[in-house]
Amino acid sequence: MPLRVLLAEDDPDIQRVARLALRRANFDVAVVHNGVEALAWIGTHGADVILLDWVMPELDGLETCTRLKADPATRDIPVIFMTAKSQETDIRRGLELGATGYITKPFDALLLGAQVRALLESRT
Amino acid sequence: MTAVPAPLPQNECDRLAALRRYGVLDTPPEPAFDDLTRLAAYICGTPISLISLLDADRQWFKARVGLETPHTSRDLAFCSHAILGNDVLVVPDATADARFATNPLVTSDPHIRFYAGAPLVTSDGYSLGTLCVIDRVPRTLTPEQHDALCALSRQAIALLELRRGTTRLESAYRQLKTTCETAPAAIVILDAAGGVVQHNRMAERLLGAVPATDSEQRRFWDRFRIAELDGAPMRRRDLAPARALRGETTIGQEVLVCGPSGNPAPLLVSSAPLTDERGTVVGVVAAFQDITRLHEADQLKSEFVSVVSHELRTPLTSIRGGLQLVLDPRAGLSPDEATELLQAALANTERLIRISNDILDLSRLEAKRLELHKTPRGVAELIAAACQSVEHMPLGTGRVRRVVSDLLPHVFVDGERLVQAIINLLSNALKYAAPPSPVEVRAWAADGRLVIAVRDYGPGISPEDVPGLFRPFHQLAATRNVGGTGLGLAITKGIVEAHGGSVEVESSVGQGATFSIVLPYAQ
Repeated sequence: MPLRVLLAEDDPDIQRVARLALRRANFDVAVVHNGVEALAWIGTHGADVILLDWVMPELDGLETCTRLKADPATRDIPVIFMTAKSQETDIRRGLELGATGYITKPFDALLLGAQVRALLESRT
Repeated sequence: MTAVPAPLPQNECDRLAALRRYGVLDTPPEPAFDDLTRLAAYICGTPISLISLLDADRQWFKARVGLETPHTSRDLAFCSHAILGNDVLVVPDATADARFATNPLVTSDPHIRFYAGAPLVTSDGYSLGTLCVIDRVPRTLTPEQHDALCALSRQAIALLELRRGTTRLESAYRQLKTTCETAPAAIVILDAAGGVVQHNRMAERLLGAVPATDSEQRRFWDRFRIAELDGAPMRRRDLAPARALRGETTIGQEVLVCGPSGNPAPLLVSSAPLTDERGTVVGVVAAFQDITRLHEADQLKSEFVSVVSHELRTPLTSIRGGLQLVLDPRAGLSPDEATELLQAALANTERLIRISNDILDLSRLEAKRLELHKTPRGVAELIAAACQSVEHMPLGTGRVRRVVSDLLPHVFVDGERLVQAIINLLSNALKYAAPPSPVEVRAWAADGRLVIAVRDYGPGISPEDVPGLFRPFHQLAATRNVGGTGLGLAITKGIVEAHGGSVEVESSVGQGATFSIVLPYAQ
């Protein structure tokens, strides 16, 4: 069974690149455009890991992560930030919300799958 | 009858310069100098005594007893002879002295017979003049009187030196005081116990009124809470003035200071010990500069850099990832997928170019370095040029409707830049327009103001969002993928303001928005 990834990302070009990069690494990828859609998707379908952009319309990544971690039903789903916000303070903020990992853009499309897997394994 | 003039001293030029340095010529009488001539007259028993200073062509009396005239011609002056030697010049009977027998001061009023003058020699060896005693009968000096005259002449030169020192100190003090009052810093001088000895006006502005009494002054400092710039606690003894009391000089310590009233302000504190002649610290001088605005500018700059970094990394993600995948045989892309990735990479490359152009424009505008090439341009023609440009942009289905009178004036503007500003407003409006309602551009001139208004019938802007509109990269989420860089409105505002105008916004939610370029013009 391939791992199911939910990608929350508002930029269609980056959605495409990330989707193809994860498909190449044998992930099963679902894509949503913002935090609201991400929460709705998780409520219905669940996922093995969530790749979360930070700057998104409707509900940004920080708030989405906060809500996921506050809900007992979703708090154990690993969240990995994947964002262009790459300052040290940003990374610390993201990880302090309980994220499993923090990948900065521009990410390496050929290593993305391996990075996600490594983060998931380091968690257990 | 004429006098026999004395030869000039060999160092006359330097001597005159030395005299001028004392700044004493033509000053009002001073009791200390008057006392010396009175004493000389008493001691020598003469009716006349003078402190005479030899100027280029006159002798001028700083103090005088028994003579009304404030100066006489140098050619007639006995003192011109006296300054040639180092000792007292004594003329017991002028009528018997070839140098003076025919001198009008001898042959007529004041009928000088006896003269004794002690030269006033400065520490660097210049004879400025004499302290002299004069009588109308022939006579001479006892050795005691001779000695006293010499002593009084040394007192006179000491007084002149002191006077000069005081003048210099006063001038230096005035310079220092003006410097302190001009410096953009609060400057205070504290005694060793921390009491305020002196302060400038800025100190009252920045730190509040300084109390008059010592005990209150010491409590004055207790009113301030201090912290490191990041808010971390700071010990009072680590503050620059406290360190200065221990002999340390500190330049530019950054501190967060919270006074009894108001918010904490970042201050730049410098302080140095003040010592007495034995080197003991007797107080400190401390300067406090309010760096709130610098601090804010610094924060804005970091924010800007952080946002720019984000805005550059986003298109780079599609470019890098897309190219990596296209080049990787294991990516398993269909031909269509590969084409889409390449097209996205190209589009994002173009986006990066737009962003870097816009950042350059913005930085020129902010540094007021944008060169405007102003020529007289017809307003209708500028609007037409802008409308033509947006027709070729992929901005959705909206259309621009021009409502522009032919009677519009010519304005003196940089046409290319103003067209850029109008294009920015039009392309924003087209992004938000609710098709099929068109975007309207109107222009009119009244009361010395030219208005170019761009109206859309889109979702409108809530009042709290208006101030942020002109901030760089402050893009509303909905337009992130419409091709803008987030710098358009900031640049538009900058261009219009460089022309002495302003950009005005009128909008409410659900009512669309009107952005107006308002330019002053001469009728």
